[in-house]
Amino acid sequence: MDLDRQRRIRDLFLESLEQPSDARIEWLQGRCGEDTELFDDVAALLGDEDGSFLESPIVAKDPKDLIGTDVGGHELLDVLGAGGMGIVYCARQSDPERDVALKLLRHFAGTEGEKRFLREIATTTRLDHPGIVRVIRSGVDGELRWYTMDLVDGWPLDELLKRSRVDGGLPEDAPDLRNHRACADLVRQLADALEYAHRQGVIHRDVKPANVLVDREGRARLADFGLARNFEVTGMSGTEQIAGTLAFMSPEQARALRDAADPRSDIYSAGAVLYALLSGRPPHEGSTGAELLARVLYDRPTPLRRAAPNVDRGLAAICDAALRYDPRARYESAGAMREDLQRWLRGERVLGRPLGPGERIRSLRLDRRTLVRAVPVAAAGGALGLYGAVQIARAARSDRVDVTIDLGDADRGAILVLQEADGFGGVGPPERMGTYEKPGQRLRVRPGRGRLSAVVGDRWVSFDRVFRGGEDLEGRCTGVSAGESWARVAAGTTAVVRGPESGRSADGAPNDSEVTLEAFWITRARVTHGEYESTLRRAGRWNEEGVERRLLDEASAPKRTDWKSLPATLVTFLQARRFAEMKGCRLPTTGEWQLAVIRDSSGWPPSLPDTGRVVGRFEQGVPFEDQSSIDGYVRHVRPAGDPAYATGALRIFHPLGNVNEWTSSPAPFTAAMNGAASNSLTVTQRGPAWFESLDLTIPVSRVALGFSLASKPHWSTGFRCAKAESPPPTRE
Amino acid sequence: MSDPDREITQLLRRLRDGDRAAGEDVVNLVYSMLRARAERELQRQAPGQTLQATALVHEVWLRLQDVDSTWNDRKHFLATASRAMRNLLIDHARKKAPAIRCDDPESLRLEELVAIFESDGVQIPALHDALEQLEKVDEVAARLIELRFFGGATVEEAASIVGISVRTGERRYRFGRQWLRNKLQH
Repeated sequence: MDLDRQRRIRDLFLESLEQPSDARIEWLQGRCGEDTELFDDVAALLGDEDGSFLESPIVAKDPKDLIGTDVGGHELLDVLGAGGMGIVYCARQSDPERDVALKLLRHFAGTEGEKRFLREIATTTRLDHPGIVRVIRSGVDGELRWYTMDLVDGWPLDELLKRSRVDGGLPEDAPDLRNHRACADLVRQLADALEYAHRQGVIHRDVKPANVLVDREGRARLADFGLARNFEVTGMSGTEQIAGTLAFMSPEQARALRDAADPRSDIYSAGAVLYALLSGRPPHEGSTGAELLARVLYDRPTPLRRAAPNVDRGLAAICDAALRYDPRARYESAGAMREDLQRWLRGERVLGRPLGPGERIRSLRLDRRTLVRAVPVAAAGGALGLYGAVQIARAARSDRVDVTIDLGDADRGAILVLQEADGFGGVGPPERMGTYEKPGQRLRVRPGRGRLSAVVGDRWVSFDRVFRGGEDLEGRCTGVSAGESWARVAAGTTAVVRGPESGRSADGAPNDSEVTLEAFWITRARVTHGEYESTLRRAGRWNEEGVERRLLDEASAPKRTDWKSLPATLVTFLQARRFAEMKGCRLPTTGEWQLAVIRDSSGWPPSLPDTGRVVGRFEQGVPFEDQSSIDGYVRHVRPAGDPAYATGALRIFHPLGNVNEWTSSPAPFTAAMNGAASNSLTVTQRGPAWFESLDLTIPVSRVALGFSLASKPHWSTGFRCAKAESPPPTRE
Repeated sequence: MSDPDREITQLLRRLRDGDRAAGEDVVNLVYSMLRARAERELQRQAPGQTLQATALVHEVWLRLQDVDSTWNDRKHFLATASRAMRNLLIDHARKKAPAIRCDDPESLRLEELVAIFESDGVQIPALHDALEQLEKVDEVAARLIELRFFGGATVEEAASIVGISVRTGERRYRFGRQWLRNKLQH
């Protein structure tokens, strides 16, 4: 590139801009003289300017700005609605003249948005059904991509729903939504349209009242195939997160599992629309969206007849059959649903889909499996074997065992309470063990997994252990105030993999089951290096020459200035547990941790592998291969003040952090299992499950867990503290 | 100052000081903000809303701009952030290894970002290369483009950041735009 020449071109361009626009060419010819090439170059720049070229996508435009302009031969008259990707205008088509609905792709929708828009056009265009809004034309006008549809003279169903709640709020010529027959008929038409679409291989995936247009004759039309997917061609929409609207979304779709949506998801949504029409509210509601999502994912709707007792049994059966949690228990097709609605409208007996006992079990099983998959459980049960169950069973047969307890001097008189615990969050009834009198006091406890708590006033400490005898329990009843750094997790149910702890079921499948948890508290951020170090120093436990120091030095070689605010990952399980107990709390159980993650990530389900097998890359959503070194840790780990922590409901889940977390559910793992013997004690962990070894070397356990043998042990396991909502009741 | 604000400030300082690696952190940040935004959307009493990550990007940018106060000066922010955005996009657009991309949430977010900036049909790597050439011809024009396109600055703001009058800025910008258009569309 001849820079001098280019600069000369620039100067001439800038100078010519100073000239009156009609005199520029002449002026330029004069300046360029014989150099026609120069003239051409400058003139090329002076040619028609495109104001929208390199327009920044960052600048937002107001949809109303376009009113009155012409788009592809349509005068835009008014904005009918605006979504994330498109704006729908009422527009006047010039030839032949008539009013249409024109949908315009938003300029910032991106190529992905454009693809989706084109797919929407293509999909809708090939659908020709009275119950589906028809595409008239499509095109591109300059930068604007658009298509037109029939303008339905009526209302979106959500608006009618809203207005039907007010006496006299419904427009006079609208179908009377208080009449259940009218509602059933609208959904019958909807099911008919869906059946047709499904036959064409199209799933709508966003069926909701706002996408159903109702005209003055009571005809329903399905609109907005923006999320529709051709289910024979998969892979088109891998990047979308939650597409569609929660309240009407099927659980499998809300879970955002790739390819989870199938025609039966639409059936669910149609059922949800019916439910809303009959009861006045969608099947699931929540005061916040996160709560709503959790309900869709984990709850069953209130049976329709309880929500709206005046609904006819047959109609309620249809609604309930469409809304089954397990897709396989729903109507097998939209056509079957339509036929049942027709039967009901004719006063015949409906078929419904009675939920047999077999289906109920199947539905729960499915639920668990997908629940487990919904959090990054790395199926630790698989490789670890049976030993936990064996050991605990053996211990349970023996008599009580001795442990010693040291709460320091300040907490004399603390009441000691023992509970059975399963390590996943379930605890048994409290058994009072007397009071704490002095450091080193001996207690006789039931062997096996349990939780021993010491309570004094409103302070307490809990020890989660597998008691085998000889344990020294040391902690402080400091209690924890429910301040900013703590998040309360409401009571709930979650599925846990009990593999290593309780063996496997007879058919060899991981033994997963649900645990029901009391409300508890969990720290919002992981314990940081700074906190860990200063607490240990204060307690006189910091060992300059000890493992803490050594690991710290090793890990902090590429020092980050925010080092102290990074999670304390360079600790073993025992260190983490001791730290928590010194603070008067404990490590969360597996179930608690999992429930917290589910709750916290509900606002944005991370894209987890859904292959059903263990994917090494994912440890709490983290690609592991390139991070199996301390460098990786330093590069990727997030400090506690990370925005994601600061904004998440519970600040727990961070899909980009590469820190696993210790939970309190160890699975004893003996050398004999692997045929390997060693002399070091290690506890290692994968995902929310972990196991403890008394006599395995680090490398052996790492290999056992599927890690490659890196030169440095991977110590990026952090931890946070938990505590029960209230100390266990102390009455005897 | 809240933690995210502080983080943004730190990141932008690092970027300003020439730390290209901070670009990756910007990704995380933008991603976090997307997520935060989506979560806010959910937290708000509007469960009926549809989530569209891509449509939220410009909102994210607005949020980034909100950090203004920590910079005392929007111009200062734009000057840095536009460069950061450019670096971020080009680094990603050039990244190969598509095999690992599909499962990596970070890449997916970036993918969308890049797509949004390429929605006018101008490929980011091509634009970046052309901008580098333009820098040699007219550094000011190139900087104006960068500020406008990658930073969303107005002509007035861009001119003032570069230290020229609005009128000159307008003309230099037009030159840059036409020059790039010639380069990219022929």
